[in-house]
Amino acid sequence: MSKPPKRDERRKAKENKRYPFKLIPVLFLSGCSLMIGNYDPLEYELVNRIRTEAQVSDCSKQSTYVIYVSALELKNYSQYLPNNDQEIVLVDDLYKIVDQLYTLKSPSAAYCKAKLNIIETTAERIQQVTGSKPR
Amino acid sequence: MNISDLYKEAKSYKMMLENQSIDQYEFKDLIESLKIADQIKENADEFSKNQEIRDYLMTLYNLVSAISSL
Repeated sequence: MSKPPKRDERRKAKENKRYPFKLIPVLFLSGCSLMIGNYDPLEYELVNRIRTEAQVSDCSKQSTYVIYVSALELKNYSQYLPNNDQEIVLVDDLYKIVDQLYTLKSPSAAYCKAKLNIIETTAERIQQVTGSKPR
Repeated sequence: MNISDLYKEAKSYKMMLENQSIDQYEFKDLIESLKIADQIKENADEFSKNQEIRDYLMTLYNLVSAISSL
């Protein structure tokens, strides 16, 4: 006749049963962390630069060119950062807005002002998202 | 931007068009930009929501780890 299991053995058996449940949050969290890339200071700086340039722009060809270059730089920089799919979509859309302004040969003052306003508010929203990424 | 903000913006662009301070092409482009900006806002909101969930789960995980180590 076998002896009844000791208290330690019973506890070990109980813990072994719990292991799969302990693994669930670990696997889930590692999955979640894969979805969101980490904070990147250069990415944040580029978004901030676009926002600031839109704030101080005088609508000259030179100043719209400067914004265009920054937007293109941000687009290229973000493109191959790991786990950055969501940010890439945002940055590509911002580039589209800036590109439209740059390609127009002689934009009117009212159009340029409205356009810069859109760029500024959009860049600010992207900045909030970029800045709140996990460090 | 919410719907009323978008409407206000679009209305101001229409006024600019009527005052001839912008032309037809610029008007179309501004409306297009507004649409893209709204899309960016929606995507950014979604992104923020995902980050909030992640932060919440991380806190929960830390709490569970702390309790199980007792």
